[in-house]
Amino acid sequence: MPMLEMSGVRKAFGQNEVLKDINLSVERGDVCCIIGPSGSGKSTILRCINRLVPIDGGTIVIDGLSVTDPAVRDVDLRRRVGMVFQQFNLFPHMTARENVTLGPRKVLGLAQADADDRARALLAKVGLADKAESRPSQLSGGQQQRVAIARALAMGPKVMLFDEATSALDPEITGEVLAVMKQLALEHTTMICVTHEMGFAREVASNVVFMDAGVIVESNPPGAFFGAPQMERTKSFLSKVL
Amino acid sequence: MHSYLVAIPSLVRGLGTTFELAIAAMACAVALGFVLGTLRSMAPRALDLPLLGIVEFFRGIPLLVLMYFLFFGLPQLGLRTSNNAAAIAALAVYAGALASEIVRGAIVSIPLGQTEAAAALGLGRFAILRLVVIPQALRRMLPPFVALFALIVESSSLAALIDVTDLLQAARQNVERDPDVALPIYLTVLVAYFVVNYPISLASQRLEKRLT
Amino acid sequence: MTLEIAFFGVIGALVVGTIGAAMRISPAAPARAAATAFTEFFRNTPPLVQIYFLAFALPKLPGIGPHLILPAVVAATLGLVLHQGAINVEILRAGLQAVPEGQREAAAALGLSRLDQLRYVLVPQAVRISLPALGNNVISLFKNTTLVSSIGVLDLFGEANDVIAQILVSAELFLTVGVVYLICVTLLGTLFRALEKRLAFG
Repeated sequence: MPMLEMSGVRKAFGQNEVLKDINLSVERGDVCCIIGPSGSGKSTILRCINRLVPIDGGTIVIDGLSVTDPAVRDVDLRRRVGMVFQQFNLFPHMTARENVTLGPRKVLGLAQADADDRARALLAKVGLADKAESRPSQLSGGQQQRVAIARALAMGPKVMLFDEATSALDPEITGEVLAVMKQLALEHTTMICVTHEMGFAREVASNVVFMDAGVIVESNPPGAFFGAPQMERTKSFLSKVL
Repeated sequence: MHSYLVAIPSLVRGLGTTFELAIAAMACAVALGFVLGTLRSMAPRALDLPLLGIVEFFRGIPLLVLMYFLFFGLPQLGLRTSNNAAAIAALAVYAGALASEIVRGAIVSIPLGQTEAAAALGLGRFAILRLVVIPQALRRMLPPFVALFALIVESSSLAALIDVTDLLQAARQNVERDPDVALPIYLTVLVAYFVVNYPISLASQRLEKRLT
Repeated sequence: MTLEIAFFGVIGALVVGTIGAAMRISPAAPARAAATAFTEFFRNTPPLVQIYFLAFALPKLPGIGPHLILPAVVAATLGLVLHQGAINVEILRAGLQAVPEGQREAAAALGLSRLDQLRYVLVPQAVRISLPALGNNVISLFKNTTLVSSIGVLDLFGEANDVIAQILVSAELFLTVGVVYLICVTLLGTLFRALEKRLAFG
């Protein structure tokens, strides 16, 4: 059974159809990179997976849990799905450590000391062991995003969602965030990454998905995807970004 | 000169009453503001409309009308109120409506990404509000709350018109006894209000600058 | 009576506000200091006390006092003009300062004089920025006309007050007066929002 199975997913905001009949399957340990022009519905897919946005039709099953089943509680879903945002969305009134321990303490019910241990280990993993007591405002963008990754990992998620995790960063510091993401991929974390980093997709992805205007145009392993794109729209997009 | 000096102790007592009114009204207004403002920030539209109506009503009606209604009007409906209680209640309801706007405004000013990030961690609605949104919103509420206190102090002078012996009423009583002290007495009262309120509004402006 | 006081009050407060704001950003330090002192004093003292001062204390000034006995309605209107005018000074000053510095630089780079920079570039933008706050202040002035009744000028509220004294059925009457005020205030609010929309950019 795949980790994520989306079939026939539809979503509209008012008159605007953002997702039209999306079918997507991601296997355990795979890295799925979603690329495409802005406004194509990439970010909405991620938000549908953890129910930040309710879908209008179709089904999403993640690790055996149905997203559309009202009996499945938000919290059961979200502790299995970690999310990293384009704008980091760290909580500015908390230190890096407090950001990372909030979920484990309040959602998983960990004791403060256990949550702290977990936070220390994860901050070390993203290379920020010495920044545990810093506030987000004292950290660079790249450091903030690495704290945000640690915060999501602290829940022990089955899947990690990355919503343009490097798009808000200066080009010279995207590398430090991509390095952490590559490390996670090497450890066989199941990841779904909306990204503009073609180099990252080529190197790390198990599958590359190209979206345009609310539909999945083409989906293939990176070799085939970048080497021999099938569809005209894919070719024209790749010719602009590569 | 003599009757001016004689008036001083009563003015000081009046100022004390002014403070009592203002502090009591502020405490009620903050509590009211938090309840109403938080409710409004979370309420679905259907529930928000009646709440908005309540807030707009108490914001739109002149404070003096409200005060007279509570003091003269309620007894007609069989509810006895003391002068001070009527004054405090009117100030509290009026300022509470303003406070609820402050609270709601601060809560909705927190970027959506904060709520999304907290929801993505699995926190529930109330946990998100309590742990993530309100702690950030408090900083934004502080300067307008301080300014609100200055407004309450200023508005509490209306209590004199329902015979509460606040600073203004103390002055009126002295002037009634000896009309010749009107100039020094009213000047003293003006300056007293200024001395109290100016530092408060200054503090509000400083906070505003520092926190944004 | 309410409408007359409100009308002259609004006009007066706008005039005071404009002059005060121009002085607050003037290069002349004494003008700035005078405007600041005026604004802070009248903003931070209750309008009711200001009205009492004008009506009852001013005539006691030695020498010129007896010439300063103002009709109650004038004292009341003047008090409101001073208080709401001081608030307008702050609103307009904040509006002027909210216009991006680049606008002034661009106007200066075109060779416009200081006055022309204000007239053609800064003030039109500042007014749009200040409009919501100015609108609130007009509404607040309208509500404050109730204070006028306390020194014996009959306004909408004062009339109700007198009637009560005679017949002592006040609950309904106060409610009626309150509702009439509320309707006026709501109308004013709607008017200002419409004005904001019209003046909005784009």
